[in-house]
Amino acid sequence: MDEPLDSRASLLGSRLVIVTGKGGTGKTTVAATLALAAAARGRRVLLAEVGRTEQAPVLIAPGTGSVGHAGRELVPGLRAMRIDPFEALGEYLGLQLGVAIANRVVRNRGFRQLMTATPGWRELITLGKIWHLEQQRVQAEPVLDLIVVDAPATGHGLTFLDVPHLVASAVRSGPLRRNASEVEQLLADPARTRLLPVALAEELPVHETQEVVERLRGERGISIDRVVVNAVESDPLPPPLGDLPAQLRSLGSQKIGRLAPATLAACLEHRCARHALHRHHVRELARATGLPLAVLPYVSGGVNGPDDLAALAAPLLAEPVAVDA
Amino acid sequence: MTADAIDALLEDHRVLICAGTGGVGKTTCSAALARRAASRGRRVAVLTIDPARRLADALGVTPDDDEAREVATDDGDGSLHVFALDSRRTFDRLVDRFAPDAATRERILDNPLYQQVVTSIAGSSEYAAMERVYEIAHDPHYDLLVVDTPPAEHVLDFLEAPGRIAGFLESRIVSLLVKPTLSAGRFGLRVFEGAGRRVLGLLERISGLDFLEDLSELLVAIESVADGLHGRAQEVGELLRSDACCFLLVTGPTRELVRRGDGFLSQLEDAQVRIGGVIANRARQWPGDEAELALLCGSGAGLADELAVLEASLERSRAHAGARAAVELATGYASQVMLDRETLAPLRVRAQRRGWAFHVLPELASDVHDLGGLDAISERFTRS
Repeated sequence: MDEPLDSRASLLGSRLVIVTGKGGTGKTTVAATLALAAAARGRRVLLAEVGRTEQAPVLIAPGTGSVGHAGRELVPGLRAMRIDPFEALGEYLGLQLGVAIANRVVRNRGFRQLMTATPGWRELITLGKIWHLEQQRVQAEPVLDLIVVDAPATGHGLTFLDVPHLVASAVRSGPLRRNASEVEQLLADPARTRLLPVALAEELPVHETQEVVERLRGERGISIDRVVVNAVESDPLPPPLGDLPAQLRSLGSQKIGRLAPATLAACLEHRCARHALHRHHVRELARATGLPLAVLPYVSGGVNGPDDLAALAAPLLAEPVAVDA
Repeated sequence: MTADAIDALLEDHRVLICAGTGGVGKTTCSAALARRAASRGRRVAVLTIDPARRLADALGVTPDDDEAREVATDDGDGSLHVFALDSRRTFDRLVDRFAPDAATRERILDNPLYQQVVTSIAGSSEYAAMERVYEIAHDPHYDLLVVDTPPAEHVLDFLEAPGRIAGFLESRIVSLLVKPTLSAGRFGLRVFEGAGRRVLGLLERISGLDFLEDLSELLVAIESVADGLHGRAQEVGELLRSDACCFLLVTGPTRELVRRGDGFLSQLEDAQVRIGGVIANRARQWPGDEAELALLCGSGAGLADELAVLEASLERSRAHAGARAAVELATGYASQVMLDRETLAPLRVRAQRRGWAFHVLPELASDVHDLGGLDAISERFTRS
């Protein structure tokens, strides 16, 4: 089923969405939500995780086994994989040198030791694999409509998306340089690629998201059309209930029946304080990034399965709100 | 487990490493633990490794500052110094120390690959962190070093970094890249023999000759500092596995964090390092007594009566909406408190079985961004 090219097209109409954020912000949840929502709308989606552990498959299809580098379709239209740098390297060398030679090289113990100790190539080969997936065509038609990448946590030098640029500057000639440039061009192509930063309504994640936005949009030229702010507490006491804690406090410290009004007041005050704190940081995030926000609600008990993911699709894909800073 | 357990950890070790997934509050916990140790008379250094320099923000330390900053403490004997990790400078110092002569040092420092490897590429901060831990742990000005680590996916890298340096330097392909070049002059790559020549020839087809030449030149230069680096890597590994060093897991009360924290403890056990305890940060605390919590989390039979009593007590005009809203919200909060406790239970049990400290820190109503906030957390370690 096709949709008109409305504002959602910026995300659902992209070829590649890279979900990034500090550890613990719910990056994987957001990536899985987007992938599932796109598949539900008829897109052919690949969700690619980068890192040592697979976290998305169990959210999308609880009880599912490992999907590995080969990947597997979890629900109709949605395939998931975890990009393994050594596997991807073998594939790459196979394309460059021929499969027989590549197999000999990647099995060579000295070569593996060299690669284990060499920083940077994992990021490059991972992005190269993503580039290759984006290029896949059958009779000139793309095999995939949308690739969602659950990127490694930022706050660690932001290096993942910087590596192609670094390689393109450090390597002066040869296929490696050409490949790095192609990846760099894909990342910076507004017609194909979006970065989707995920933040929490907390001080340091807000600050770091601002840095990510400035760096990757400013220096790497990667398009960003919204920032996700995850796990935001709703207002527990909308008007006219605002002075309820004070009313409860005025009843004194003794229990009335089996409950102390002060206990109730303390619960309410804590939740109100958390809400006020979140609201402050959401505004700060909007001001600091200058970008519209997709505000996702806090889910008590955590996001643990496909139903929870489906509930987050609407706020994620809604027309992003320009928060009044 | 009581505060004594935490204080004993601070007392009995030279290095305390706070590990855990990102966003759980490792930086804040490290700083609070360091404050606590300093307030009890120890001379403490705290090292933050995260490039965002979050601890630096919290403690008013300028970013890009490799030197220790002293933070005021109340205790006459104790002191607290904060270090932010600067990978580039740490590597530069290593090269300075181990380079056999000035020419080699310059060749390394000016190599374009060196500059990118040490400043930009994931993994370099782990190498540098290990080196910095070693430097500070051996500084006689400090009794205790508290270390804030990079996010969890990287903590194994952190532990493995010393071994990886050693393995790298010993690997055959590195010696192939290095040795023939030494004998044949700077750009001697083409004189390779046998299998090494074939592998490098293949690499050259992909990366271009320039890149391999830069790499070879860097490796030649590094080879000359290799013995120093290798010895250092072994010493760091020994320090991490010694009784002087102890790991603390910092985690939080969600299923995901507990699952990952649990896996992480197993990885630490496999690595045969000493685990001192678990800090469960940001768990929601119940402000009333346990009977109230049980009532609100109960089946609800008794709750209707309590609601009626409360409605009668609240201001008449708003009684109904107010009392009902208050009880509903408190019930929701109570169930979250119970959920946090249940979620953390497996970690608590594991810690008790192993004799590790287990400490819960509350979710706070405001951010911690000053010393007062850190001290409030530090105080929390007093309560069990």
